[in-house]
Amino acid sequence: MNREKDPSNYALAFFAVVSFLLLVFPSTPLVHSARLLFGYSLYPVLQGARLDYRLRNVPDNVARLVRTDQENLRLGARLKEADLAAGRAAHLEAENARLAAMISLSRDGHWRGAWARVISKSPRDWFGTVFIDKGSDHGVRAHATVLALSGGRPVLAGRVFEVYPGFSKVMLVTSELSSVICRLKGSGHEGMLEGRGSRRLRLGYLQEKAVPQDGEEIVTSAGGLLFPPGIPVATVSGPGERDASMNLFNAAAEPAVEPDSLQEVYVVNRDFPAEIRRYSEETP
Amino acid sequence: MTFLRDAAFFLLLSAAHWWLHWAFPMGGLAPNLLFAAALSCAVLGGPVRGIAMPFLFGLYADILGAGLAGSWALIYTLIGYAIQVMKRHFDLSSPFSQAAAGVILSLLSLAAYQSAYMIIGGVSPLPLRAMLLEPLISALTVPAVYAAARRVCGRPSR
Repeated sequence: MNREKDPSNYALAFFAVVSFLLLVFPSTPLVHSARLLFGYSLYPVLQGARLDYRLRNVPDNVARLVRTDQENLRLGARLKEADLAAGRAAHLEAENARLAAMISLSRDGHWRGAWARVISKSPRDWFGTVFIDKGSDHGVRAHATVLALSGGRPVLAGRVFEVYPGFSKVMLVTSELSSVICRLKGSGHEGMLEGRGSRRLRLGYLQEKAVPQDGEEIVTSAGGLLFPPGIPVATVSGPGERDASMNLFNAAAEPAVEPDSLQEVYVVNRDFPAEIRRYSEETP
Repeated sequence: MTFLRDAAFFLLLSAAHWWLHWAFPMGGLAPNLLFAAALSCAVLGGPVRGIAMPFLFGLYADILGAGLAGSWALIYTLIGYAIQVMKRHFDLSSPFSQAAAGVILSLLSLAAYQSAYMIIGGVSPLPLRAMLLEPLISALTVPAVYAAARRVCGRPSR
């Protein structure tokens, strides 16, 4: 074959010219930019020295795009962290407000006692009992009054039912086993407030003259002995019904504090009369 | 069919080279599959195909690399042409001759790349380690890639 007409010569000339054109014209930034953007779209995690390495020989505008996206990714991550921190802050703020109200309750000096956190509830006894994180090691005694805050004032939540060294079981006023001697705050008539195992309470043993009004407050009575008198327990929520056998009336009531919203409670340390103290020691 | 086989080989080797350098860089001295593929295609291909394929592999090396676009394309084009000339005088179908050609041409290509950069920018883009070891690694790589290229692209053509 004639060397002058060798196709490899033409091929060499053609591809060499193409290569020269690529070298002569400013194609390098374009090639590097295309490579960077293609690679970056597949794997946009570049940081530190690796990012600097990838951005070398790349035009400023493309480098700015990538750096901006990197900054955007960093800021997005920080924004998520900030959202989490804001959520925690809101929770702490709400807790702070509750605790501040509780501190004011402690400062009032009406009662001596200790604050406790609700640590557990049993789904099988949702309206009956809760566990708190204070026990006999902290001075909690059986039958101690348990208060909660509702609307910034202390209300009766229940009483300590069982005491263990590090925790205690509290019987709520909504428990089926709970009964509290109370009086209607308006008329002063006494009755027995009984739990029903739900949000509803029943104020029984009301005399015929007692006409409970809707929304009327029910407070603990001095006759109850177990609880300090005058503590709000519930409000009347329904009309009275006659108990046919005893010629007494009942009324429906709602607890002053929602049993499913309890988070912190105040356990009042009271010195019971000797008879009650003896009873407490005999029956846990 | 030849075109499709060449395209498949190009894609296969390009992907393998990228993956090898990404996953197993071994201190920047992973086997240069692009060089080996360019040399193999030049040996197997005819006058046009034997230069066009090295050019394309060089272009891909330019895209992957950080140097001037077109530099490796030019160097690999020259390698393809050199192989076309060498084929008339030497038998490049044996592994030993391929390894020998791989050493020489790898060294020459690196020297050309280095020289061009030194002349243009005054900086050395390649470390001495690469200059010394890559030709040897390429010599070991070329026969294996040639065998693969022969299976994919077919018998050598004059």
